[in-house]
Amino acid sequence: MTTDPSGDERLWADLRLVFDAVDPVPADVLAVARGALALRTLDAELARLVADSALDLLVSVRDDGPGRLVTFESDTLTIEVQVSHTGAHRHLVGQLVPPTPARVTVESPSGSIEVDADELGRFSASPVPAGPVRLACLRSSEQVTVTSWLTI
Amino acid sequence: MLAVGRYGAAVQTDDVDGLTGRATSAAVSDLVDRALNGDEAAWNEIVDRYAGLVWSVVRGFRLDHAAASDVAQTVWLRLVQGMDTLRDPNRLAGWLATTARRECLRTLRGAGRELPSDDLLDRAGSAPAATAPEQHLLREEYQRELWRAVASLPDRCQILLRTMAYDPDHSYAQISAALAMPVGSIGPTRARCLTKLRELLERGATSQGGRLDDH
Repeated sequence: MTTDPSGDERLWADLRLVFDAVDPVPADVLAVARGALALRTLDAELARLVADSALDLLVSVRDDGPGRLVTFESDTLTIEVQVSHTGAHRHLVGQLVPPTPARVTVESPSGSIEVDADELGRFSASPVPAGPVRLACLRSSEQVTVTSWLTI
Repeated sequence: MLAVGRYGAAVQTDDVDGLTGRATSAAVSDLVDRALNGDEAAWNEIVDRYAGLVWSVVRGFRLDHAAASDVAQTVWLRLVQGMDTLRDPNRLAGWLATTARRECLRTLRGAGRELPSDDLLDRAGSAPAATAPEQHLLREEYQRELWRAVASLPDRCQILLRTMAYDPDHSYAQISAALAMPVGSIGPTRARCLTKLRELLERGATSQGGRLDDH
């Protein structure tokens, strides 16, 4: 790395300075980013996002449509969630596969909402604030499955 | 004139700096290792080093400020979840940029908005335009000159230069992942954008009466 402050190096530094002043990284982003390490779940199994209708170019998601459908999958559990919205609020309707009762926690950096999935594995949570969320499912087996974070 | 003199002819280069990488890359994997062991100082250093990159990628999309903040938060939360499975911690910037880009697309489409094109030329728009209210945030005249010039660039150039300015590793591969541009076109595009920026700085200086450079 050059120590010469002239030319390109100075330009990149000045560009950062200008963008930092005009459109800085928001304080809430920095706060959530710094606090993220504490939200690690070391003993839960991770259910990864395997399908998202928002990325399916053939499906046009509209306000009046059924909403966005996302699927998370771990080795032992599949979690299907339909996300719809009214204004800044989101509504989640979910299904656990295989069907099983569970305590489902909808987690966001600002708090969490707990709901129960019935014997058929169905659950719903509403309203959920817009922003990043993940679901933590605690089944009777005491096993905790946590989904990837998703912006809703 | 202030800003023009500041960068001299060196602005117009096609140097290979972007291809050589930086000495920081070795330290990145070390930071990731320490963060995986719960070291908050290491984690905070990762955040400080790359927060600007993530934000610059997100701001290249047509998302409002609140949605952009949500997406940037998600990227950092997801890094914590996936950090132990990073194939190459030295390419952390590329992972962050790619994740940010994908999450932007999900959010744009999931929100029921018009489908954006993947083309960088078409999808720009949130890059802040040069307006008078923003200029008061800049203390020095050379900063205001630079901002006016940057804001007059095509969106594509604004996004590219901003992202490159915030990539501490200066890696073309990472920029390529962030902007979905072929690696081979990054160097030439960067050179064109820098040339254009320099022309704008010169023109701006001329139109303001060619003041003496006080630097």
